[in-house]
Amino acid sequence: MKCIKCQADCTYPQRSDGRCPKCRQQFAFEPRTGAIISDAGFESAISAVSSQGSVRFLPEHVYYELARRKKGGGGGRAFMYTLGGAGAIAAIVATPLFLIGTAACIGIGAMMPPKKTVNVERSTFDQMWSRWLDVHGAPKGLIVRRDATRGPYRSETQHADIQHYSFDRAVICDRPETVDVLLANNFHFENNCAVLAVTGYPEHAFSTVRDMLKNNPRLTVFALHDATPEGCGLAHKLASDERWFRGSARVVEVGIRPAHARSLKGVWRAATTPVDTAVVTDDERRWLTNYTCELAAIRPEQVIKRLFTAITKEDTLQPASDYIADGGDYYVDSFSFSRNSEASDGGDDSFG
Amino acid sequence: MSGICGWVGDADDKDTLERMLGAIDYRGDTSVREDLRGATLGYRWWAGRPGKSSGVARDGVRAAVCAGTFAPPVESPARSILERTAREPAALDDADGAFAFAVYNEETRELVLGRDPFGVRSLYYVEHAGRFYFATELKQLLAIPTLPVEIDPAAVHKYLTFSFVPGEAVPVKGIKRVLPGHLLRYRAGAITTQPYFTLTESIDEELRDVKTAVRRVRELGKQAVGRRLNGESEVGLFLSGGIDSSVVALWLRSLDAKVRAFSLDFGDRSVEREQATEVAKLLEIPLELVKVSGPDIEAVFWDVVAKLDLPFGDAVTAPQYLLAKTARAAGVTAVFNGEGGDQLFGGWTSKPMIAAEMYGHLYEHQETESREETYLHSYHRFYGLEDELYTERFHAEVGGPGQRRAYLTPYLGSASEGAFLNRVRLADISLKGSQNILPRAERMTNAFGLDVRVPLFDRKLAEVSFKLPPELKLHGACEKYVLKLAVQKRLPEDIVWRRKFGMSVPVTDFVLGPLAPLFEELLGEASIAKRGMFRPAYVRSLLAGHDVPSELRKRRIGERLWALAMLEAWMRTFIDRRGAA
Repeated sequence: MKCIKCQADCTYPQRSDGRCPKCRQQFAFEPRTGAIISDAGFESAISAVSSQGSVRFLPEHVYYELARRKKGGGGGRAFMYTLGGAGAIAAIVATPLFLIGTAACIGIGAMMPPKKTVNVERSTFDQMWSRWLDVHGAPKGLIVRRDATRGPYRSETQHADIQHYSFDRAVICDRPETVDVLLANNFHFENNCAVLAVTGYPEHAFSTVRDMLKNNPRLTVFALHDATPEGCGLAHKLASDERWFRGSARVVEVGIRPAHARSLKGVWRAATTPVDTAVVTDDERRWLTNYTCELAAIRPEQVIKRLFTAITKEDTLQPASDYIADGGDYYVDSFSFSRNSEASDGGDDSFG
Repeated sequence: MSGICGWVGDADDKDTLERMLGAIDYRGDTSVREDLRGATLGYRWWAGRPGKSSGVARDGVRAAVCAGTFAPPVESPARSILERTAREPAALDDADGAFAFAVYNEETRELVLGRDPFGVRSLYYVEHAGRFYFATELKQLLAIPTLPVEIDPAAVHKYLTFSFVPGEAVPVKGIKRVLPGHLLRYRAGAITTQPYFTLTESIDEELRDVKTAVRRVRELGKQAVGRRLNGESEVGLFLSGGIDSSVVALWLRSLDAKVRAFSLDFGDRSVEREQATEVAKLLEIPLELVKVSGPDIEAVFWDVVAKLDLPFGDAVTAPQYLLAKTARAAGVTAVFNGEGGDQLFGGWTSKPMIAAEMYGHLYEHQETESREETYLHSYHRFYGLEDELYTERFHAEVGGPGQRRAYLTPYLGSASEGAFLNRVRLADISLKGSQNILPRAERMTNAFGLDVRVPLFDRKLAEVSFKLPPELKLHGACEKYVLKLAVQKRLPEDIVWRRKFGMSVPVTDFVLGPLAPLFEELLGEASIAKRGMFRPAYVRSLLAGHDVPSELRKRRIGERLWALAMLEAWMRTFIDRRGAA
């Protein structure tokens, strides 16, 4: 196993005290005693989600990166299905005896867990993350909210005139963590953009920013969300709720829906809440009954670049009513987060 | 437009003065020399041009040389300067235009140097071998045969952040420049400087009434244009199709000026070509579209570098050069432009700072980030990318932290400005405007002997812009609100109220396409290794069309490559060859 500090390779007996025999750096994980990944593997996952340290990220991004790397755990089901399929073909061309084996394989396969969902327990990851921080410290690019007791936010020391201005556009997210990814990576600064969570985050700026948005009569609002029942209903809520943008802004739905999530197998979560929103298709409702998928399953660099694509290209928008019969008065951008969309600036399109 | 130079010290050196005046032979066909007791003054100009007179004047023991023009025009700028500086303090309260001057007093042995309020004209100086030299262009000082020429890494470091070199320093060790709106006094080896022009917020309660504010801006704007007409039978106009140059077009026509307009044409990559055509048609101004392609830029690249005099890392310079070339060929001797609207009336550059203000200090990594640092990011060159770009050696040479922030603190931290918008505007005017937009525009037009007239950077108009309530400038998300209201009835709605696109030079397409061989040569392994300033891997990745993963916009690749290539070309021209073509 390689030491991430000095790159020296060592055998299990050589690191029996949990340290690199060459530089004495402590190892965070020991695969020989049950850890699901080595230090080098964990570091590689961090490097991937931070785009080699240049993009800021949250621990949940590392969690999904590990899940992607470990998604082969559900392969038994696929293997049994394959075996069953081969048996069916053989049964047609050979002997009925194969039918028994075929049925058995398919039956066993159906009982095995699907490989589409995350197969790393979140609690396991949380322990690993804590251990990593203890041994190696916080990695470069990790987003950490500042403790408000350590001094005022800049907006709390601002000038009186600021509240008279506005933003060119707004991104409203279903979760505060998505707001963190955008703000920590300066999306607001690069795009003259307000960023808020529908839940009221960030608290210190929320009401002021929401009031400032009223100063722009030509505002476009982008609803960025997870593939969850609540997320898929976000744009509808923003476009129809008078406390938000009913009749006052153009709302564009740009998050991930089940159709996008289908290409991200291995990072789905099992659904835990009923689908009580009307603004999904029958097909989406079926998927959401069983699964959800968080935006954090996509690497931050891709989220930011695809959102940028969405706000700069408007030729792929369709009225929500074309997408869902009861869609309401907003638009849907189902392109920017699809496999067919390239991130705005070329480069490696490693979606997820 | 003309140029000046000279020195304080022994006067018997005809050869050096000829070299200094000869270095700007494209700024005039006639040289004038004024020998004084303890000093020499030189002046070069186009004799016989309409509205021009010699820029040399003498009155007893005092003599002055003045390059450029005043707004409104005066019969002899040098005579006017001689009179304005005859008493203490100098009477420059209403001095406006595009000028740089030197006044010498044989009796007191004092030299006074000065630049126009916004820095259209430049003025450099250096102490060398017992003399105090000055000149309106850097290349004139480099023509002094014995002057050592060595790159200043600290100034290059600033260039790589701003895309121009801010402040007094220039990238040649020992040489400095007078700041815009400042006077410099040299006497008995001592240098003192002081501003004669500063902008300060002073909200006029009368201007809270929108109709009054609109009327005032319209009146002053029209007067600003009128003050810059100098008896020419016809003037040129660089018309982009945006609101600023369209406003200037409107005011020129309302003053019955005969105007010819010139607009850039990037083919199917043009952003505002149709709008420029629409405005020209509406105002009955003949418009010439100037086609600009990669090969066109390659053909003029080295002359652009030479004429810019300092490194300017914005790719708009080459198209500006081609516009000026066309305007000169069309026969005009002066061109107007719409530069300054953003800085004076609250353009798009304020918006990122406002967004950052709302969310600042939310995360631990921002805990110590100052407004100055946020502002530095808005230049989008290499601020924050030093580790990717700089070699260890260059990193060690550029000096300690805080140098770049120090340029901004007087504005962003100004105690006299109540409104946040005005602090950002002060920084925009003083840095982007006075040290980048104006001098580079002046040099590109003067490459062809054209006077540039920048009416929105007018002293009275700027002063009233600081008397307007800030919300009349940036109104919600609407930029330059009061300016738009002032002309909304006279220009098409689409021109007035749509969002700004900017000049939008397709720089990445050019740099990675037709200009690729030139850029490969300038920024290839051999060239980068020879300088030892930059890490080859990052430059190579830019040349391959890849930037850092956090970068959203493809155009940044071209902008960054252009800034690096311009620097390399500038070093070859001005450091390796001392300004020789």
